[in-house]
Amino acid sequence: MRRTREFRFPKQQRKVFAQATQLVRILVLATSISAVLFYLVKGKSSAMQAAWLESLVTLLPAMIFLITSQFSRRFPSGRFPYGFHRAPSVGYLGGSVVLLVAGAYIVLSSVFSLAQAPPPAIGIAVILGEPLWLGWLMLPVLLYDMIAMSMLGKAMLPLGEQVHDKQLHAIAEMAKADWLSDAAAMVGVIGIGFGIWWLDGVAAIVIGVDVTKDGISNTRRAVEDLMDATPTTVDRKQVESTVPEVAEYLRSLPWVDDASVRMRDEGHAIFGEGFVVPKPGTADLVDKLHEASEHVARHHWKMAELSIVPVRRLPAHLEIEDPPLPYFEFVRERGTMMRRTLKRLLPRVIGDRGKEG
Amino acid sequence: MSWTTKACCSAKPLVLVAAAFLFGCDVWPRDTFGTTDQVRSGGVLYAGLSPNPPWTSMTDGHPGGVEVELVEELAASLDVEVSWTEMNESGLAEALRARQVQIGVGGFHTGMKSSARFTRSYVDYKGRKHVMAVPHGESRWLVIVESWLHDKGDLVRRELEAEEAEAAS
Repeated sequence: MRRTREFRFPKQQRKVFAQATQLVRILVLATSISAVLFYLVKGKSSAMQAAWLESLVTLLPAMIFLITSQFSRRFPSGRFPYGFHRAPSVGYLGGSVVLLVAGAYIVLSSVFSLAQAPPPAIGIAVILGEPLWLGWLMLPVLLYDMIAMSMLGKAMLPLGEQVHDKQLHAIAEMAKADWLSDAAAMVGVIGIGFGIWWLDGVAAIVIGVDVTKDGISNTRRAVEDLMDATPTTVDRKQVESTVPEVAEYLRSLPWVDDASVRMRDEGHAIFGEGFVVPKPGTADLVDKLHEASEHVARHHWKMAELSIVPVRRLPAHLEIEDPPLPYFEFVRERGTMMRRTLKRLLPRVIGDRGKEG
Repeated sequence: MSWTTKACCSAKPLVLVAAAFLFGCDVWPRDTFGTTDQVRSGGVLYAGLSPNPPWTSMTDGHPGGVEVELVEELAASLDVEVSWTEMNESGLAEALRARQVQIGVGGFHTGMKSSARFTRSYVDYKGRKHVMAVPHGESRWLVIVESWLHDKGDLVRRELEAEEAEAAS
């Protein structure tokens, strides 16, 4: 069986990828420290409990990335002729589902305890023989997590883009957005401090919703990846430029009448087919095909392998489609639609009633 | 994406300022239902006792035991009197939930199942971590009780060991 060409990052990207992996290691370390600190100071606050659970489950995608990215550039084998580029995507799906389940658990248990459990109170810890209110320890721990996560997330975000790694991008995005849960937990702790006990439960619900949101959007993305969606930029806002560029290049060749492409993204490597209709009587077709595929390999590092197939007619042509709106923008769009419809309908309904009255 | 960055950067100093402000207040944390103020202004600490020697006992209407002594001392430090009521364990938990009593003692330890809010344990005795019970949601009161108890562990253990030695001889 033929195996795919070995995929290697260009020099610049290799350096960036090593840097990014290092940052993920630091992220794992920083998050582990947060998890331990949260556990030590969480007391009876459900917001702190939620923050602790969150730090545990967000540790998962980062750790999965570290493990699977070791596999991903392994040499293709007889058993896995397409290579191991999908390994991180598979891990990513697993991590996202865990995030989703954990988020739902945090929401449900927080709602339950807000409705049923007695109001929480925070007591003391004894540090070097001196009693100290635990809240004074919770707030700095939350502040540490907030600063560490947003700094690491901000540093990682551009790197994920440069190496076209969606998992890296997702991890960076989650870390960067983590300040929201920390801020929510702070509000919960301060709430207990002011005797506004329910703020703690509300903060825990906010954290749970945040985790669930991450779980939903990441599961959706992981499924898209595994379903061979057209390659997109790492932020998934538009089609990866390699796709139309390669199609354009094939169409521009003097011996080609028409051409189209079909591509899929396997991690940071894009695989796919280019279909070309050679002009009648083209000589040395094999050499020309070879030349074209070499050109693409030289000019598009994200393209791991392009099989160029000469055909009589193009297969039923599909327009390259932009990715859909991210989930929550999609929901928002739906909301606006409903509001608009309601606005149009309500005056009629009310107006009719008014006439009757 | 840009709004998150902005919100993040503007939230951090705000939180810092808020924290600095709160560090300055000595009335923090507060109670949800004002137990501390009730004890201080009323001049009486309502305490529930579930007999469990040598921790607590009730003989002819006179409370005794190491935990009773501890509560009496706590009340003295707050400059208030103690009003004792004897009840069973579940009655005590109920009274705490209804905030009819402000502290409950009865040799409670962390291994017990109870709907009451336990303090952090103040003494390890015979493999059990002993606690007292307070009403739910009262952070300030909890801090006062726990701070009072936190260095009494050794004293209590010595007293209990002495009592045991006396009983053996």
